[in-house]
Amino acid sequence: MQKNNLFKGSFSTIVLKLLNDNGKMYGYQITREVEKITVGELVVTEGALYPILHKLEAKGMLSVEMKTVNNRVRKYYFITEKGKKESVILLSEMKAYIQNMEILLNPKLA
Amino acid sequence: MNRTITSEETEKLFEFCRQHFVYHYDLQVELVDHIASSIEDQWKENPEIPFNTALLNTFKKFGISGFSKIKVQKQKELARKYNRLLWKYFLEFYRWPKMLMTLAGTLVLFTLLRMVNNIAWVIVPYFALLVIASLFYFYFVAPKKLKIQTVQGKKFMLLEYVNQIQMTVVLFSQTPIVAFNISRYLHIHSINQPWVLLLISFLIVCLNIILYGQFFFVPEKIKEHFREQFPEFAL
Repeated sequence: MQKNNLFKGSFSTIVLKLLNDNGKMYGYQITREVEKITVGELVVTEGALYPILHKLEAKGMLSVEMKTVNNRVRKYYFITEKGKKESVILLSEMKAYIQNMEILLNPKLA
Repeated sequence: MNRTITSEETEKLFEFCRQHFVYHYDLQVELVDHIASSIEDQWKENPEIPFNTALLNTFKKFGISGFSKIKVQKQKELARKYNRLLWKYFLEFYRWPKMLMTLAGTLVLFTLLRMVNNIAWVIVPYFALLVIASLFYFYFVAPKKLKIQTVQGKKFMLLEYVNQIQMTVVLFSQTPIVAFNISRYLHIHSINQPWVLLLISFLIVCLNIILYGQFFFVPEKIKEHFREQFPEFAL
């Protein structure tokens, strides 16, 4: 389960990136999309997804829209301008982190 | 054609949420759609799975804490959202002319407190006025104008929290009278020192500005957010 622990910390970044790329999405769709992209390697638990979505919404990084689909109300999330800016920062931080980990794990011997 | 959730089944899902202590419509609606989508996905693979089995399969994915973790977290986030709104109001309010008004108000109150023989002549009527104004707000203004309890028989977490946070501010606004009572009880005479009176005056003016923000600005902003999210429940 180690991979999921690592994944938890970067979950906000993943959600922002997904919404930035795909436009509007609803909760269940996000869980399925992450599983699909990572071919089932990463599983988003429902108990982890919604707190992150609500946090990003409260911070004004995501906005919401309600639509009636199949006779029920569906809550769509979409990224705001503030969220887009934050996503750029978070992604660059994550890339730098991955690069540093690469260097640490595969040191080049002189 | 794939099997989909019927209206009766959707109702059962709302009932399921209530049985698991989720009473607010704004949270229920999201969980109901999630469970319904997951059940429909299961039916795509095997349309014969009974509704209740598919429901329990989905609920298991929410983990040992079920919906409670989501609910608690959402309440925390709403509290943060309200604080951010109040802070925004404060920054918007504290522009140049209003800053001067606050200082002027403080000085007027300070002069008044210095003029009277006993500051109780100012503090007690202020407290009485505050109680009357708060009661008037909670019983007459809020239910009619802000409708922050239930909308069409449904409870909304987004709205309910307004009331809770307002109560906290009302409690805080009583700090001056509490300070006055304590000083009387403990015979602390330094309360009549000019700098203490100035501090009390400033505190009273600031608390009233915060109170005004919580009573009028924050609910209006929350109503705007609510209208955007739930236009069918127009406030």
